[in-house]
Amino acid sequence: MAGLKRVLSLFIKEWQELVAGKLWLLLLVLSLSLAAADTVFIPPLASAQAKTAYQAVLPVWLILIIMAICLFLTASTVAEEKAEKKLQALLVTPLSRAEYFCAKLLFVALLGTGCLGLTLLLTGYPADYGRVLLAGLFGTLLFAAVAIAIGIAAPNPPAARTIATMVYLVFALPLLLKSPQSAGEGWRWLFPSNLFFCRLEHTMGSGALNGLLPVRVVPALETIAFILCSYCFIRRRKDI
Amino acid sequence: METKERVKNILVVSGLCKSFKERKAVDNISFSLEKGQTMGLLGPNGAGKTTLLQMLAGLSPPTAGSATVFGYDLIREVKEVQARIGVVFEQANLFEELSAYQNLALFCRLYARPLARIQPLLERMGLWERAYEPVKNFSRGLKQRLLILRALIHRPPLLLLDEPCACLDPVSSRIIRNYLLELKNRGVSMLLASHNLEDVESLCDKVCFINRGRLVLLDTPSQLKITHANPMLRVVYRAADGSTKEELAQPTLKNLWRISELYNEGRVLSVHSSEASLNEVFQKVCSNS
Repeated sequence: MAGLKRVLSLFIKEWQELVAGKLWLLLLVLSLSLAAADTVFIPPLASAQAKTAYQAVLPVWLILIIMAICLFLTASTVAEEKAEKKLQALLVTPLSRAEYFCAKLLFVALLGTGCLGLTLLLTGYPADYGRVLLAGLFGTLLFAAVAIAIGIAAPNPPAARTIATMVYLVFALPLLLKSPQSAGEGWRWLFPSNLFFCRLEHTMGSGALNGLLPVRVVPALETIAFILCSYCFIRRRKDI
Repeated sequence: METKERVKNILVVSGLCKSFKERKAVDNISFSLEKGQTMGLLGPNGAGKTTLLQMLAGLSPPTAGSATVFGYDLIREVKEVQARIGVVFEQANLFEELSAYQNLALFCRLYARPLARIQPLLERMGLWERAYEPVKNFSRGLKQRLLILRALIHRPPLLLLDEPCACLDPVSSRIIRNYLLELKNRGVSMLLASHNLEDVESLCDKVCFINRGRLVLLDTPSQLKITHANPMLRVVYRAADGSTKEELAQPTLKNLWRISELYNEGRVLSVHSSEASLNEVFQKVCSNS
């Protein structure tokens, strides 16, 4: 119970910091959401088939943008807290590393999933909101876990952002190189994040693996595995 | 605050070492601190003071050796140790976007202490008027005061302070020194790493000199001055050519005889004793080791 209270305290602090110092980021996400309306992104003269293809891909791209923001924001915040010894100040209190990790995950997951929900709501995208938000939650958790590990490993915030950019490109590569119409190229399975993106597409109704159990289960397992790996890394790290 | 047992020495450090690859930052340091005592850690930059404090705060595990704080083992019972200490870091590691009140409220919540504690603390340090202003607008002196308050939010019986008065103007420095004196009089024990010898002299019961990671000297300030520095006489006299001269002379028989001769000739304008200082001890220790 005391641990939960500490997690919530840190969670409140994250929101206070966001509202006090990084309000521009929230506004940016909101602007993106508004700008994502079909009339902006889909060429007006596009064929009906092209429109359908765009509609299938657009939310996935938005989700990716939101996740990118989550990744960069978390990685640089954690790296900054470490470099400026704020993390040390927190860790000399009864707050444990596990609680710090949970608070960060909770904050990023809620921020990311909230933004995703808002994006879909504002664009009026016809989707099964529950499933899309669940997919988004897995995605933000996965990206946040990786971002916290990056923040802890990086010597300073710019280095954290650089590493996060590279990690993001590797994670998003399956989707970046995929055309809207094609699906399930074999090379994409080389990337651990592919199943996660498949799930996203699946929730949007355009995936090639509709109905297959792995698409539902494996992203969750993948997210849990990444969270555990990231936590183990932070727990073992001595120079925090 | 409960302790494991009624221990006389609240802090016992024995053979503590910390190595970074080949370099030994702290090398076999041992000392103890009694309840209510204040110990000063002195040494040149890079001597290992901050590393030692980091180890004692449970933030950096020692390579070898052991330490107990209020009877709790620093390695095995680190959270018990941390609950009983307050740490003032060298860097102003406050959450700059948040206000002073929000910063203290966060730490109040983490220590599960009532928020009602914040206002009296901020008032005591003259920060209440600016309690809801973002910390990023504060001067270095104000931030330093807030850092000390943050370390005291859970009323710890032991404070670890790393350069609390570094880069401060004399007024801020005095405010912080007076507050630390007040804490000392209330029975709070302190381990104070500082370059400010005036602070160390006025606050500390014991002084520990560290150089290149090793403990070089450990004694009371007065004993250190007697043993390692020389008191001098500052003599102002009129020279043979009529000009006024000032000399520092050790109070040896030979010098005293010379001063008395000058006095008889009516040429001595003033003689003042110049007390041995920790500064001299500091310089001597640094040059010797």
